[in-house]
Parts: sequence; C-alpha cells; structure tokens
Amino acid sequence: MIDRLLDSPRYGERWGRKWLDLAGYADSEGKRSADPIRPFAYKYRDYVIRAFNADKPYDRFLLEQIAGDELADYAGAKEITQPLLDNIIATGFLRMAPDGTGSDVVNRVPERVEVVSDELDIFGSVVLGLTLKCARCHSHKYDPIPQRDYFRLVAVFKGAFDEHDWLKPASVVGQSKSKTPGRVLPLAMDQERKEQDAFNKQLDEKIKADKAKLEALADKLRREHEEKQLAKLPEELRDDLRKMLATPAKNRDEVQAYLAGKFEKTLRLSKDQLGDITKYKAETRNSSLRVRTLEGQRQKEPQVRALWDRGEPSPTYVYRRGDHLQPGKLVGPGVPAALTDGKTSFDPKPPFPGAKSTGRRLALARWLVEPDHPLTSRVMVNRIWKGHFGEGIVRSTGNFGKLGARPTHPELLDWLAREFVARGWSIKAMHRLLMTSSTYRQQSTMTPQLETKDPENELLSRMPIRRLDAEEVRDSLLLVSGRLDERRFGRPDSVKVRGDGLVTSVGTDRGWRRSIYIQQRRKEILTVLETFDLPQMNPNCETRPNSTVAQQALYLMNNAMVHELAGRFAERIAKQASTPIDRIERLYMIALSRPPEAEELELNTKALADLTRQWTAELAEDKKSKASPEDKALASLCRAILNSAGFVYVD
Amino acid sequence: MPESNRPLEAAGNLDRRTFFHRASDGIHGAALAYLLGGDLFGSSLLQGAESKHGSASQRRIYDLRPRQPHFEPKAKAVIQLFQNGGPSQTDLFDPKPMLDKHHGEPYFDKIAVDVSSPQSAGGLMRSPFKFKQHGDSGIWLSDAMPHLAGEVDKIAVIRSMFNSHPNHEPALFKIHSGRLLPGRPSMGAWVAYGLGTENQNLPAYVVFDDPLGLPVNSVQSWQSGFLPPVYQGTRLRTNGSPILNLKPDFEQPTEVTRLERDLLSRLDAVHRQKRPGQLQLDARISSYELAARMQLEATDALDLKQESQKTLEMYGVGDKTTDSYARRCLMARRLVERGVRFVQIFINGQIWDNHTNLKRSLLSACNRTDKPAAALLRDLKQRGLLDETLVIWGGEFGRLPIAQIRDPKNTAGAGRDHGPRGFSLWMSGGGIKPGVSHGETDEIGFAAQEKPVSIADWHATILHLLGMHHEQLFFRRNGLNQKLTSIYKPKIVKEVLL
Repeated sequence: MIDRLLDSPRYGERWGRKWLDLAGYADSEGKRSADPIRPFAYKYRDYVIRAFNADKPYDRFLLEQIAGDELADYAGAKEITQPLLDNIIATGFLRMAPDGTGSDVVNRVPERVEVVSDELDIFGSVVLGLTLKCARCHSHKYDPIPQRDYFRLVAVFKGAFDEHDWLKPASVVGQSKSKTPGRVLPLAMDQERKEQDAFNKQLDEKIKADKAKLEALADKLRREHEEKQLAKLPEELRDDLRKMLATPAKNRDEVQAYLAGKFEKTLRLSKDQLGDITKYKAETRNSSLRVRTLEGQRQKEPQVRALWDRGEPSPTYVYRRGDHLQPGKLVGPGVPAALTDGKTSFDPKPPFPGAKSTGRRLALARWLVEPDHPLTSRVMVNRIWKGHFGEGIVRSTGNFGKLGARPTHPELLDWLAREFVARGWSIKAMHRLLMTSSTYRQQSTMTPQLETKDPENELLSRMPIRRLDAEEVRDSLLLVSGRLDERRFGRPDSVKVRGDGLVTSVGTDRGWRRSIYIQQRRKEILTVLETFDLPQMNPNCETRPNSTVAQQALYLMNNAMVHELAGRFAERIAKQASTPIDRIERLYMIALSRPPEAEELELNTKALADLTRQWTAELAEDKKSKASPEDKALASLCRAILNSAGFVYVD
Repeated sequence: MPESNRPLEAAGNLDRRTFFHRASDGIHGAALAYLLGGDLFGSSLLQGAESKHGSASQRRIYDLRPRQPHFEPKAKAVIQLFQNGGPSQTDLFDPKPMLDKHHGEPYFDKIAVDVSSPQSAGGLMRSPFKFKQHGDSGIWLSDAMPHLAGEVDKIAVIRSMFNSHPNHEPALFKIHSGRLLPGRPSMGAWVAYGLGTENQNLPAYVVFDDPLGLPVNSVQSWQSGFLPPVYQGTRLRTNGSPILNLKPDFEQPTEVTRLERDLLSRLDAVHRQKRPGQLQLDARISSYELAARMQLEATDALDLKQESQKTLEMYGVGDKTTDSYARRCLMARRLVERGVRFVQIFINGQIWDNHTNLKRSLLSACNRTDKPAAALLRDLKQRGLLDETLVIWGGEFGRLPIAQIRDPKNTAGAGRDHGPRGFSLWMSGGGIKPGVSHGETDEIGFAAQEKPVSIADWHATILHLLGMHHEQLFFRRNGLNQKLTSIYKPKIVKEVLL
C-alpha cells in the first residue's frame, strides 16, 4: 500500500506542496497592492511536483534549485531537453520572495537589498535550518554567524542578485516605465513550442472564422440594400445594373462605366450606412469582443522565470548595520565559517568552459550536498519526519540554531540523516522507512497514562490526530462528489472575487482542478483555503497554523459550492446503491473509507427516513421540482457527513 | 538595543529559549497542557481565572461561558482601537518646545543605536502641528485631532509608554501578546479565556480588520497561541455580510436544515466520545455551535440601518474619509452593548508609519480615525456604557524626535522613523480616571523618563480593570504558569485608575 501511494501522481502534489510552502510559492509578486501576476511561475510548481514524483535525489534537487543555471550550458545547447530546462526552471526557487521592484518608485537599492535579504532568509531557513536575518545588520547574537559571513553569502549570490545591476520582476501597471520583464529566459523544448504554435494556429482560425462570419453578414446586408434600391428603378435596367455591380471597375465596358457613374453610389451600401444598421452594429461589437477574448488567450513566446548568474558582479561590502550607504570591509564569496572545517577554501570556478558565470552558487550547492554536511540532511529528514508525525524531531524546523528547539530524539535524527544520505538522498526511501516503523503504526488514542507521561507527545507515544489541511478539505470535497478534474500541471486556473469578498475558483464542465493548480495570488486566496489556514506567503511558510474557528463551520454549512457538491455526491451514491442501508454504507465508504458503525448506521437510517418524509412534504407543495424526495434526502445526508468531524479529521 | 538608559525588562535568556521552543507547537501543546491540568479527569488542580474562586463545577471543556473574575471589575468589555504603524507622540499628545528651539540641529549621534534607518537620519525636527490644552482637564493635544479635543475630559493619556524593539513585527507581537516573538496568545484571547463572554450567540473576541488590508503581523495579531483555539479572535467583515458564509448561499427549507444539523451533532458526539482527550474535537464542536447561533445574532448586531441618522453622522458614516473606520467603531459599540467581551479594531497596513511627509501622512491618518474614535467615546457615554467599557487607543511604539529624510533632495518630505523608547496612548472609561496625563518623556520626547510604563505594566492594568490579577490569569504548560505578562513583574498604573 505504501508503494502504491508513493507511486501515485498525487504524491508529488501533496508533498510537493510542502516544499512550495517552504519556497514561498506564489503566482504574484506581492508587496504592492496591485500584486502583479507572475505568468510563468507555475513551471516551478510543476517542476517541484515532478521532482517529488520521480523521487529526484534531494542532493540533485538542491543543486538544481540553488545553481541549476551553472550545471550545464543552457545558452550554448543545441537542443533544449527536459533535464536542461528543469535546471533553469528549478532556479525559480530563488525567485519566490515577494518583490515590489516592478514599480519604479520602489525599485531602488534599499528595496532590492530587501528582496535579496528575503531570498537569503528563505534559503537559510529552508536549506540550512538557520535564521540568517539577524546577521544582516550585526553579528548573530545566538548563533556563530558573524556579519561578515552573511555578506560572504550575499557575495555568493551576487552574480544573480546584484542590487546595482537588477533584473526587474513583472511590472506594476502604471508604475513602471519599462514593460519587459527581466527575469525570464526564452527557453522551451521544441515540444512546447509546437504545442504552442498549434494552439495559436487554432486561435487564428477561430478569429478568422469569426471575422468571416461578420463579413458574411455585411455581404448579406449589402445585397439586401442593393435589391431594395434596384426595386426603385425601372425593371429593364435592373439586370444590366446587377451585372455592372458584379464586375470589377477596371473590367467594365463603356456602358457599364456609364451606368456605374450614374447609379453606383445610390445602389451601393456605404460604410457609414452599414455601420448604422442596428443588427450589424451589435454583431460588430460582439465579434470584436470575441476576437479580443481569443487574442487574450494567445500564448506568447514560451518563457522560464529563472535566476541566472550574469557574470562580473559588483563587489560585496559588509553593510554596516545593514545599511547600503555605509559600506565596510570588502568580502569575497564564502559559506558560514562555523559550518566548515576551517581549512578547505571556498573556491568557485567558472562552471563550464567559456562560461560567463562565476560558479559561486554552484560551489555553494556542491558544498551543501556533501555527504558529511552537518545540516543539509538533518534539516530535510526533520521535515520529512514532521510531514508524517505532525512535529519535527527538532520542532523549530527552520531553526536549528541556539534559539531553536532542542531535538527530542537527537540520536534518531543523526541516524536518519545518515540513512538519508546512504540511501542516495531518496525522499521516498525515507517515507518507507518512517511509515513502516512501529511509531508510525501507533494509534492516536489518548489514555490517562499518556496524558501525564507525555502530554505534548514529545516522546511520540501516539500518532497525533490531524485536521485535513486546506487543500485536502477542498480536494476531498471535490473527489467524493466526483467533481475533481484531475488534469495536472500547466497554467493555474483563475479565481474570482465576489462583492462580499468570497473568493472562488473558476471551474469548467469537467469540474474543478486540485487546489495546487489554482492561482495563488498573495492578495486573493480562495476563501475555502484561507478559512482552513492556507497562509499568505510572506515571504514563505515554515509551519502552517492550525485554527478551529466558526468560519470553517459556516463555510461547510452555508457555502453554495459545498451544497452543490453534496448534491453531486448524492447522485453518485444513488447510482450505485438503492436501499437506504446500502446508500449509507456507500456514503461512508466513499467519504470516510470505512463502513458505518452500528450506532452511526442507526442514526443515519433514522435521519434519512426523517429527511425523506420532510422532503416529501416540501416537494408536495413544489410542483416544479423534478428531484425525488429520496434524492433530496440523500443529498442532505451527504452534507451532514461532509460537515462531520469524521470527514475533516484523520485519526 | 542595549537595555541601559531605560527601564529594564528581565532579559532571561533561558526563558526565551524555552519560549521559542514552545512557540512552535501550537494546538497539540495547548490541548495537552490543559489535560495536564487534569480538569477532564476530576483532578483538583484548577486553572487560570477559576483558581481564585474555585467554582463548584469544574471546567471540563474549554468554552466561552461567562466566568467570575478574581475581584469586582470596573470594566466588563474592552474596545481596542489599535493604531498600527506607531503614531507620533510628539505630533499628537506630547508637545516638546525644545524641538522648536533646536529644530534642525544634529542629534543623531546621541540616539544612533536606536535609529532603524541611519542612512536617512536628519536633525531634530519640530512638529508641524500646533499644541493646545483642552477641556477642563487641560490635556495637551495637537490640532491634528480636533474631535478628540472635544472629548479630552473623558480620557487618560499615558505619555511614558515604551516598547523594546524598533521594528514593527516584534513590537506588535509585544504589545499584542506580551513578548517580542510570535506564538503567544493575544491579549483578547487571554481576556476571553479568563472571563468568557456574556453573549453566547456572538464571539467573545471580535476583530474588525480593515477591508483595505490586514495589519503587518496579519492574523497572528489575534491568535490564541498556546491557549485553546476557541479563544482566538473572530474576524468580522464590515462590508457585505459580516462573516462570509454567515447565511446559506442557497435555498433550503428550515426543517431540512434542522434535521441535517441534528444528525451532524449526534454523529460528532459519537465521534468525540470515542476519542477522549482530543481537545481539537471539542473546539470544533463548539465552533459549530457558535456558528449556528451567530447566524441568528451577528446579522442583527451589525445592522447599522437600525441606527439613527444623527448617530451615523456623529461617527462619520457616509463621509468618504471616515466611513470605513466609523462603521467599525459603531459596530464595536453595538457588539459591546450585546455583551461581546473584547473588540479590536485595526486599520489597514501602517497608516501611522509616517516615515515621509509627516504633516500630510499623519493628518491623513487622523482624518480617517479621529472623528469616529471621538464619537465612540461620546456615544458610549450617552448610553451609559462608558463606565463599564474600557476604550484603549494606541499603536506599537512612537516615533523619533529627529527627521527622517529618505530623499535628500526633498527635505520638505521629511518624516519620522520608529521610536520605541517613548510613546503615548490613551485609555478611557471602564474605571479609568478621566482627564489625566500620566508620565513624561525626556525634553525632546525620545524616551520615557518620568513614571515609565512598560507594555507589561499596561497589560496588567487592563487585566486589573477587568477584575483579573495578572499573576492569577495563567495557563499551566510544561510545568510553567504562562501569563500575558510573562516573566515580568509589572506594576499596575494606579495613577490612571478611578
């Protein structure tokens, strides 16, 4: 069963999401209220999902995300292959922080330094489990990170993050002179280009057809006009006049030319006249709207949102108190001294012959994934542990420093970290290891003994009970009701905001896609996801909060979409089972993956009977409704189950 | 920031570490710590607000039923008008003639360590506003707040507040929850935990965030931290439906809904019964109960159509500048009238964070809030509610006496940088002595000097007015009694009490 789950494409969507939280994934730039869209960010999301599904070794996963641009010569490549493209897409990891510099007024050195600082924070806490932020303005008060080390890291990234040579993110409309985004590379595989050309060609055809339709209408109107005018003239002239009109001016003989001079103007429908015809006017408007909509879908040159070393970075100085106007000592690239043996020098070289790039990030990445690196493997296995057990062995997953929590089981952490490296940095291997452990197979039952001996479950004396997280709530509702559209990857589905602030996703007749494929703006988060604690990424999210509030109840009880899905769920059950008991059992199997217990069966049977009676009475007054009382009652029952603790909590 | 030159808070490195350790463990920790207290299993250990009186029926489940305070309270409810960003004390409440005298003189070196953005630090800067004494009490106010000037005899101004961090996020955590770090319960959560609420059909702790945007620490500003989640703030919206999904978005016969709910509560009871000790499930069940009751009452409570035109105008409802804040203030009164315990009103982003264009930006913040806040005081007074409602106004810190000049070419666009060492706020009603000015900053308004009031002092004073002792309102967790005032030994600011 574990293998089946790990092989499912859903695995990457679920565990990839955890990584996206850490990276601070968003489809918009944030910071400014306009919150401009990042049109190609989704490629990074897809990359992460694919990497988890393929069990890309974690060392490789990091190499690509920290220094994918320096792994291979993408610019000089004859053909863009998927692995080559992935290298570049992966660097999107370093492009996820909120960034307002798309607006000219805040695209100055201090704001750029802020963005770099956010990126380094994400890098530090996610990969190294260290809070680097403090060391930006002064030497770290608790961890052995002098300010110099912070700026040595800044220097590592300088080839790509240079506050004096800045590539702009997506522009804020009206606040930016230049419109060309600076952070994209026009890289794509032939396949993608072909698909895109095909798509655009299809668009062209649709547009052409639309225009032809309008022209056909114009022709019809012209002919009608001509006939109307001809009718006013003597009958014997009409045939000759028709011939004249059908003949192009230069081919006309003398007589026709004469007739044209005399009658053509009155016979022809002028442009103005045509434009005044109500029907034509309306159709022109509709057609241009349709064409505009189609044009809006036109796919531009495929691009990758990326980070790359541009060579010849400006020198890095220690900024006194973090202030760029007070440059202090010049520093070169390097990694925190406390994490090294103190002997090996940090020695970046251009990554491949003829490379413009400095190779600094590649050197950093290679250092990170050395098998005996003190933090990289520990930080990651701790996160995997947390993913299974609710809490990490080190509870402060992003802070292994002095202010972080002590590990509850230090030897276990060390052993797991060694196993992780020994098993080729395979994340799936770690899942298997943890999920087959007797700790994982414990129940969540509380006993008075556990309450006194291990109240906070630091000793892992039980499995913690867990509420479904935001995506799981929404996706499960869609799944049980058969409305989950399992199309994967690609451009995110858009959201719309209702007047009262309700944010919903736009579905199709196939239903709705999984939450991970819905556009994630910083300012407009799907209401259902926000209600169930999907965080705003500012800049990223180490640990999601877990709230229990009345709004969650209100959503599940009163939201129109939940109501609709309950109806669909009922239809699905009605097709599979007919007697009340069979239906209740189906309902339990689908929604809770278990049959109802005796007590539950009794409660549901009674409720279904009561509801059927009630609906019979209600529908007797309503002649229009086609649904039977039984179907309506079943939908009500489904709604109750979708609201129940059994559906929303996992034991 | 070095801790010298101003009142010290116990630094407690060890405690910080333990705190940080706990900051990360959320609800499980809360739930289990509660069990450690043993309520569920009939142990005699009582917790928090109940410990003093030792009610006969022990708290078995965390809920919002009203609870006896430790002693006779002066205030029954709190309305906090939180002014995110750090309102400038020397431009609003704390006149400093020395700034006029020494305007433009360099001063940076003396306060350098407290300047967040040294690159833009200018010289001392006088206030662009004129100060005057108002009312019978003669409290000083600048002309930026003409409406409050009319109510000045109802308030007590504390001019010697200080915070201990120059950045918004930590300073906000401090003023909302007592420490510089995230993860601790906010004051409103503590109050809801200690006192419950009078009206079981409305949340105990209501938050009105600004429709224009969340404050800096976002929803963490009203979190319940390690307290059970039932005590966290409930956000209400002021435009459209007060709470999203408050009413069904579809039509359905009432009786059907009742049958559905009935089934749901029975199923959840069965589910809960089989899982003893899982506090999350209790919180969830009560969240459903609250949701159902709120549907009935929240709509009515927030319906401003029931207010007279005169009242609406007094608050500034309908006037473009004040409308949004006025609605929230008026709704706060309506909620307090109905027995809500703690109402917190936020304003978007950081309108008081006047780094540039001091005069214009501060005035804009005042224009949006001054009239509604003053109206709230007058309205509460007229209705006889002010005596038992504590109104508090203030931000997370103040601002520096020196200019902040971000653009050297535009000195006229100067503002002020963050100044945590001294700031002003006011309190009114609910046992506060009206017409008092308490404490002093130094001669340029940089740091609290006379009778300094720490955040912990201030928290303790608020709890005191609500009839609770800060040492007795605690939550036992990992062998420690966790409190809003943390490890500090605060002094209640008696001088501002009736």
